[in-house]
Amino acid sequence: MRFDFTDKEKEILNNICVKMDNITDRLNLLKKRGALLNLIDEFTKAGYFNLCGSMLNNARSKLAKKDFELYFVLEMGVRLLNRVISLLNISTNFDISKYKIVSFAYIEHNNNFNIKTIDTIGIDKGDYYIVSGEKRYVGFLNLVDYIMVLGKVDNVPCFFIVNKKDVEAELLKSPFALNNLFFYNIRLNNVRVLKENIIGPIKKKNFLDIFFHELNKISISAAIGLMQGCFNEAKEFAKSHKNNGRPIIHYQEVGFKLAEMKTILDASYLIGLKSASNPNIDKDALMTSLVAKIFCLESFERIVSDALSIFSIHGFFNQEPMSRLFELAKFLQTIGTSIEVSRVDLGDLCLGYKKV
Amino acid sequence: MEFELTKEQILFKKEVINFAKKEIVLRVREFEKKGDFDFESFRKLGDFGILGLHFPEHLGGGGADVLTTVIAAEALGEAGVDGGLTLSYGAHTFLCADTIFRHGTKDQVEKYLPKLITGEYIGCMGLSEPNAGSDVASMTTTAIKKGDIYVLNGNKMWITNGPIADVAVIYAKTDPDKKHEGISAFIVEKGTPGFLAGPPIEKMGVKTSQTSELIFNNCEIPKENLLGKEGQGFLMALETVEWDRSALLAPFVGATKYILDRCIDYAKKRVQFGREIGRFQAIKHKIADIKIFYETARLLTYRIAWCKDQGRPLNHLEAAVAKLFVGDFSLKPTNDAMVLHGGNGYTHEFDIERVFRDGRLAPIGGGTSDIQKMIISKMLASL
Ligand SMILES: Cc1cc2nc3c(=O)[nH]c(=O)nc-3n(C[C@H](O)[C@H](O)[C@H](O)COP(=O)(O)OP(=O)(O)OC[C@H]3O[C@@H](n4cnc5c(N)ncnc54)[C@H](O)[C@@H]3O)c2cc1C
Repeated sequence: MRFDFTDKEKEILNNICVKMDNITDRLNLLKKRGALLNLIDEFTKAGYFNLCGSMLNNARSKLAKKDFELYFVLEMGVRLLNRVISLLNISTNFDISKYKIVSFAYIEHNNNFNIKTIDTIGIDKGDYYIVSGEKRYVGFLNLVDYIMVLGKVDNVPCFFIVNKKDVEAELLKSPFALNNLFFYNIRLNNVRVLKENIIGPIKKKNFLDIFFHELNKISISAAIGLMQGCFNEAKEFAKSHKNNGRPIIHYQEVGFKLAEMKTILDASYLIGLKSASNPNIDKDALMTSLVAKIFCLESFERIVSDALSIFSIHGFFNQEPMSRLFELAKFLQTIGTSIEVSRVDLGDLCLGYKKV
Repeated sequence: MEFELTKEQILFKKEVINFAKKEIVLRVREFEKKGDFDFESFRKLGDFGILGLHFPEHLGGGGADVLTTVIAAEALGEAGVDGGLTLSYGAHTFLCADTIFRHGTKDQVEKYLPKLITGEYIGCMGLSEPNAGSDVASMTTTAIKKGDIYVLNGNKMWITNGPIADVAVIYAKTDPDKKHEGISAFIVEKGTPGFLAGPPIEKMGVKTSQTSELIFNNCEIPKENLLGKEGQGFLMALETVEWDRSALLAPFVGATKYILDRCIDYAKKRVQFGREIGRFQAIKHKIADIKIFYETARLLTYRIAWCKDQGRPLNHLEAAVAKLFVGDFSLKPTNDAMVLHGGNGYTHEFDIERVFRDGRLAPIGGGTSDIQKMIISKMLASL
């Protein structure tokens, strides 16, 4: 066991943090593809996209704490594609370097978690597929050219690589906490997709577990980073804000609340790192990942709720309002397997009802 | 970072579990029911090497690191050993023997350690008093020096192994006018005139550990029985805190794994509404929550052990975090485990209610959850 990073690892992480600290004009990055591509290049050079295991978890947490929206785009739009391809061990016929940043479209009106009920279907037409279906809540289409659309051909799942221009997109009102990102519902109406432009067919039975496992990792790391930030702000506020002439941290109601927050924060940090450090996708890894998902995401919600109590009215008017973080806590619970489904999955794995 | 046990550690843990299942667990129910201390099992812990696992080999110990010691303690809980026996072992090894080992003179160490390590002697530690629990610095037991002796007067309360101990580490004020700095530690042997143990106190859980008051009435002990220097007692007591938060908590963390396994078994055997109850989502949720508690509590406990092995300075914050987590977060999973077993969970036959009862000590013994929150919040205020 080793509960700390080595000096070498710390140095690598520090270098990446310097890159994060140097980010300027973030709104431009989230609106202009060119600027974003430059940043992706810089992060690639700094080694951000080569990180793995607990180092990746740590760097992810730091970036999420610094700028959640940018984090969301870099993880869901850049790293996820590479992770999916390597985890599924699929040989692809396309040049992946062409897809520096993409959107993933996997949520449907009546389906989140079950391959059987996916309604987006591709019909084999020889050299190409004709794909039809509808997907919801597809992120940052304004920044990408291509969308990875989860669908099925002959009942076998795959991702169709669809040109953004070929879909009908309806812009949605952005959530308050993500108001610099754009989300869309999209419709594919007999879209022609060349045979080489698919990731698949994906024959792995537990493919959705693997995919959601990856999404869970993104939400776990972000939750840890965001709750660290939230806790620190609440602590500093409690030290500086006075009531009856005393800093409120000296009242047990506040001091003890912070103690509980610190306790679940530490536990989240450790279980998050543990889940990230297991590179396998076996039963143990999936269980630890679900434990981390449930614990970290529920802890984030609790910490931010307690922080709001400590901040009181001030929490709604801060530069980085706590109320925004509250929404993020709930938002992150939905990335990957929801908390409720995670609990059932974890129970099933413990009971041996679900096999990996 | 690495979070997995090595192959050797896994093997060792299995060995301890097998030993405990074969030699101890079968006797637990009988002794639990009677509320008696199981001397034979205690000696077996000594024979197997657990009582002295982390002490040097030349004293008869196992020379193991702290993490291995914590793994052994966890394995006992996981095998189904009751919290009473593991508490007795914890008080004996970490609160008594370890303090003598760390602060005793060569003579003291050579006199007591080998016998404590085998289990021939049973040790205890007396810090709490009837009116000084959380606020130990307000203790009133005194040790007044008179020439070559110290004279002890006062009462200690809630002392694990009190009625059966051969040797006790006792904290008393050598300078009653001072608070923490006035506290010193002493070794007191059973049978010393003026030293009496009260009868065992009946408790809700950890029943096989014997708890009592210790009474000192003009009890004279030679000055050679002072541990370390006068006025260092409080710091010595603080040093045991990391053991308290790792090796003493570990059996309880292990016991959560024990009940998790029991719950999984039961959920697959018990049929209601024509289905195994494990098929109901609410049962899966309970099992998931027990698993979540077990995995997180384990990491926090291991972290203290690892830091101790790295020779890092005493870390009150992390230690208090681990204690608070296990103390406060264990109520729901142990209760869930009991409810999952329905009526059976409420009976002695299924051991689940025992783990529930034993676990209720976690937010009280060795510093209550409130005190852990006080430590954490004070440290946060100064960070
Ligand atoms: C089974 C068992 C075994 C034990 N073994 C030993 C042993 O071997 N050796 C030994 O020395 N002691 C032992 N103890 C004693 C144990 O450490 C104390 O019970 C514990 O420290 C609490 O002290 P107390 O019981 O006096 O409670 P009190 O200190 O009187 O506390 C009462 C309540 O007030 C709260 N409280 C106190 N101060 C504050 C504060 N400042 N802010 C907020 N809340 C506060 C506490 O959290 C608690 O809820 C044992 C206890 C038990 C039950």
